[in-house]
Amino acid sequence: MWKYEKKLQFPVNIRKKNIQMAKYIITQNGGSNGELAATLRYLNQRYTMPDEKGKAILSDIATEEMAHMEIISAMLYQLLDGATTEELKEAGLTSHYTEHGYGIYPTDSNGVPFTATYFAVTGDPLADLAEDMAAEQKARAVYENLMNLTDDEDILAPLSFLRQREIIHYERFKALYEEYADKLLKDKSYLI
Amino acid sequence: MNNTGNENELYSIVNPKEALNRGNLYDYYFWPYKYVADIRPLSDRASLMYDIQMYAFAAHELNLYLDMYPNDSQALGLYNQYKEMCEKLTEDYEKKYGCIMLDSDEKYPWGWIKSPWPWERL
Repeated sequence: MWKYEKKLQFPVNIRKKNIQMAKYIITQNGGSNGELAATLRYLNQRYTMPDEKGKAILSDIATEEMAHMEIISAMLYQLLDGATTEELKEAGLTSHYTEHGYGIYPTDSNGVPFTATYFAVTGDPLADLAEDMAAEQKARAVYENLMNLTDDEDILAPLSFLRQREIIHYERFKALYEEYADKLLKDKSYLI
Repeated sequence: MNNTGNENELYSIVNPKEALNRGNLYDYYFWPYKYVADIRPLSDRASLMYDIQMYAFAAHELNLYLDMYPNDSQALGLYNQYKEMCEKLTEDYEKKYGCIMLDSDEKYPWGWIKSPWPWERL
């Protein structure tokens, strides 16, 4: 089970609304390299990890990804706070407004809704962890693209934090991948 | 494979404040891009929340490290230290401003529902 804590992992305090950035940042909520895909990828892959380390790392990183989804949603909420329908129109968010009003719905920046086809579960630890490493690098690249689109420090701070988390998660998955790959070569089994 | 820890990581640990601003506890893996945050909380409440966030984050980073290196007693010691700081600060915050977690005896009236919720500005 999970327990909710009424706090963000990293503070979000965006003072200036920015509808255009909201339109782009939403992809890290519901896009193919976004935080919802990351959460579901690791949560669903953890059941076939071959040892305790793998089960722990996938559970803990999946849980952190939920907190990242919350950070992205908090950013979207604050970026859109006080926006008029006229401003939404100008920023190209009319379709989003039609479907969702001021609500937050997981789509990519083109408005394509989230789908479970954004991630795979093969049941094979090496295949799944190789995907996880790629997913972290892709998410890092998208955060860099987003950071290139703004100079507002209130927006850059959480984006920079989230980008750096992709780097750490990549290293955790890589260490696990290498340990399993070594075991497989040496002992022809994941288990000691 | 039976090594207790990863020295590159453990010997490059930065302080909790820098870790939260960077999003990374380990200087060894730090790879900056364009901007590094220097959070200046705008109120006493936001400031106390920021302190909680930094210790919670440092403890979480060590949690992920210990998942991979469960026999590293040095990392475990640091984890316990940061965790304790986080609990103490959370207790202070809850006394002053209200619930973060539903852990303790709750007072009347039920305060859990009170704003601000995490996505609202502090």
